[in-house]
Amino acid sequence: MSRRRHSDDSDAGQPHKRRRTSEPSEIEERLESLICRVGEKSNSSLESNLEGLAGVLEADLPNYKSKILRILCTVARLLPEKLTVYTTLVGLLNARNYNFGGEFVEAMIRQLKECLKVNMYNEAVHLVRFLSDLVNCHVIAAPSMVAMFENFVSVTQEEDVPQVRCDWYMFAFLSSLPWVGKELYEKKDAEMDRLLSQTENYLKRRQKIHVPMLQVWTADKPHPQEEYLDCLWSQIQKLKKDRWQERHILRPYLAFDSILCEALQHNLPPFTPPPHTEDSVYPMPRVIFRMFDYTDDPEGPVMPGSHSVERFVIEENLHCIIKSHWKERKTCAAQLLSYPGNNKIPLNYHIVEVIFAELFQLPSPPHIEVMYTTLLIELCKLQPGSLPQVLAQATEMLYMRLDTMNTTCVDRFINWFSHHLSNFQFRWSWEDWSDCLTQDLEKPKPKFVREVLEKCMRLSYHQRIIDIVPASFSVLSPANPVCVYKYGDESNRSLPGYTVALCLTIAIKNKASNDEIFGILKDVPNPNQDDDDDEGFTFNPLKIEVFVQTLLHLAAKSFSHSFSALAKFHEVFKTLAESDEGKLHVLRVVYEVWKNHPQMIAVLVDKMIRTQIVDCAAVANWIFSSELAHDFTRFYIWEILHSTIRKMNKHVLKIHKELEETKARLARQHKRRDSDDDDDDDDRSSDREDGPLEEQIERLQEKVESAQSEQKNLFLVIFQRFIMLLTEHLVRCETGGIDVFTPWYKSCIERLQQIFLQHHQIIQQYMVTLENLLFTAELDHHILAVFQQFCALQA
Amino acid sequence: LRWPAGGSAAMCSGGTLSILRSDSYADLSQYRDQHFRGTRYDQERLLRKSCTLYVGNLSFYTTEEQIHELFGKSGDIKKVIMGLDKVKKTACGFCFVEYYARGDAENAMRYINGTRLDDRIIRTDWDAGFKEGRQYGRGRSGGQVRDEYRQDYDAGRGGYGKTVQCQ
Repeated sequence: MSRRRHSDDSDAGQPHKRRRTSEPSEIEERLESLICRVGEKSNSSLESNLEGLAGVLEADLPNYKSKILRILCTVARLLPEKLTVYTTLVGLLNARNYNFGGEFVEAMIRQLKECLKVNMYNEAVHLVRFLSDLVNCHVIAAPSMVAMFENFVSVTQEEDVPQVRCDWYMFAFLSSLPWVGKELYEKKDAEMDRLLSQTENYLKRRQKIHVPMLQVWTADKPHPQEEYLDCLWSQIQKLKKDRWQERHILRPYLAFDSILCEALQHNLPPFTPPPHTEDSVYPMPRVIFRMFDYTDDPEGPVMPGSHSVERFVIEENLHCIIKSHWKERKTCAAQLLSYPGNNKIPLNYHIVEVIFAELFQLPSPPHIEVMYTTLLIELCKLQPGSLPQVLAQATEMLYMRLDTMNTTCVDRFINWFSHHLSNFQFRWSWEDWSDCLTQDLEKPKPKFVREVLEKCMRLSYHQRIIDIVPASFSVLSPANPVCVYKYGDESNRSLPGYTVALCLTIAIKNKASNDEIFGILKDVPNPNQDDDDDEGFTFNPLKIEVFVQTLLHLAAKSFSHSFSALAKFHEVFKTLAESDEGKLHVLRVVYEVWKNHPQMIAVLVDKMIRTQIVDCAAVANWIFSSELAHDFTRFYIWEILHSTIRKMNKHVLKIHKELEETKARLARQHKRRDSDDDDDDDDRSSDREDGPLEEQIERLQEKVESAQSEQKNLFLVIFQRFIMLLTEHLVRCETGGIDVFTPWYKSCIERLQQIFLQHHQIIQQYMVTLENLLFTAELDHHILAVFQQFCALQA
Repeated sequence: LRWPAGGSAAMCSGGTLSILRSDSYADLSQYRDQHFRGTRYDQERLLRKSCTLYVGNLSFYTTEEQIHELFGKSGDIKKVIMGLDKVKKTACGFCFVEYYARGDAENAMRYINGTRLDDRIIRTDWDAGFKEGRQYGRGRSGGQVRDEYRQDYDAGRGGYGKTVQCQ
């Protein structure tokens, strides 16, 4: 019997819906919609819209007060880009209804405390800023706001707390000043001066070991990569010097000054910052990304300087818009382009800078990388006459500064640029970049172009890439992604295993079974052993070579063909690769066959991990093996390694989740039993019921522990290999008297940083082991510095 | 396991806002597969939890490798199944992409749908799940239905539509 939804019926069952016009949830939806839409493009002025809305809400207060409170608190938290619109609205409501204003302030404080308790610090900042702007709307008395900020700043006096905790409270205070600095200073200048001097002292003494790890470029020219608190402090200092005159922020409340200054203000209750707990996780420090200044757009409006508070506000608001609308690319693009102040600021430049700031953010971008590519395309569609040029200018600038760009950021630049080009027929003025042709191929610029062309090829095909670049660029063009089969030519007749390869080829073409394959392989001699083990399949590199080469060659036509081959002969693979050496050798052979087609290598390694032909540790060891040294700095290698680590992490999470779910099932079973038979004393039947679940939990517990141990081992192997490789290089340079900072070294040390940054949550668990076992004081200070910078991130 | 600060939009006391919940690119489209075995309700239930996308308007020459590269940008791909002409058994301009996680498929709908592959704007839509036989075109000549009747010339999809070719 099919279940049909009501919507499938043509109008039957609908009449009752038409009668319902004032359902509570519909009212709430309408209120929410009214409130959210105020400030959007409209035929009336913002002021009249606000006034109208205030009137509507005031009338609704008797019946819908709590709903209105909830909605306003939510927009304060989630729509910070419209901060001043909503503070004005609250100001108008407070002027009409003093009690409501008081209740709103209380609700905000409650919400702030909750946010801090659950580590929602980014949203908490928006709440603090909202409260501070309420001072401008005569809702909150300035002295009580100053008092709250005094409590914030005094957090810096706390002992034995992470620096990131103090940082947050400092940031919450400083970042509110563009909005409310003037008002607070006018009312309480002595207190404010004291706060600012305490701020200065804190900023001077706080440590900044973490900064190099988060910088996109290692050079300070043309724009220094400032630590975020340092930059903000410079901006506030300049604001103070300008006597707190701030002209960028839209302040609708100014138009209502006569109404608002008649309103009675509320005092903020004394706010004690919740204490630091073990579960507290504070935001990581950031570095401010800058790539443009006023010289970059000589024709248009002047770009606010890097230490102007306008720059801070614009960037904050643009980041907030992206955060609000990241799922809706067209809306996001439209909202960014309709940011107010369009003709006074070079908006396109700000937008491009903010987007690249997010794309290149370390450790990770706030959103998935591909979103930024598509968002930029949408922006180009909406502003075809201006944005593509800014983007081209930005690309050129990024290319020029590749020499000092962090390797992880270069990866993202490569991915973005190649994907972007694939949407525009790969049109680019490659000749402009011919300077890179005369450089050593390992240098950042030629390396970048090579990797971009390889990625472009993956999105199209080999000949296309040859066609789009000038002939002079052929040295940077990717190899034709063909398979290299060592037993292919008759001239290779003399290779050991050649005849077996022929046999295998015929057998596989004739749909041989795994057993038949084993039979053919039995006769392959083992070049390693003198005393051949007839029974077992101990590590026999030649067997692996012949089988894997032949099979991959036969299945070379497409990914699907190769995956089918892996699946069909899974048993043979598992047996041949049983030992660690076997796994390593399988990977080696895959590389030998497909070294011209890195994409194929990546998907095969992925499949082999998922089907447990190789394990993650084997892949890690293979990446650091001498056979791969030649490709060690190539992008695809690191894509494979990070993909491997991610699979490991997901695996642990999955089993952990299974364990938690089973525990929950057991708990529910207990609860049901307890509530069902209170007087039933039948313990034995209860135990019997629990049995299978408890067994399952035990098994899963073991599985979790074993997976976590494998995960830890993977990271230890990776760190160990890095240390070995880097130490070798450092020693060689020292004894040879040559400079340590070769392109290889820069790449390698930044790859080590990348491991820490990309998987920092997991690695935090291993700090003690890492400190005691690997990153000890005896280590070369170059390598130790990376570890220390990492430790400083959450210190 | 500890999570970094930052927070999600849906919070304890406040909840979220419907304008911020909007996710039109990841919503179901109007299309329902007429050959689906089961009720509309069943199909929609499957579509809402599916990790598989239908991809259309591909060039006949677009390879599995290209599709893997592009769609891999939103997450790990479990499988790509190329759409084939029922008679010729060659690519006929569509495929299925299956992800391990629905979230990755959603991101493909948000950021890869409506962008270019092989210079063509491709279209993605939720699919209820691959079943044997669904990899074949349903047009009378063996390709996709849309290539039977179209009047335009499309070099990447065999030139003119089939009925035009037969004139």
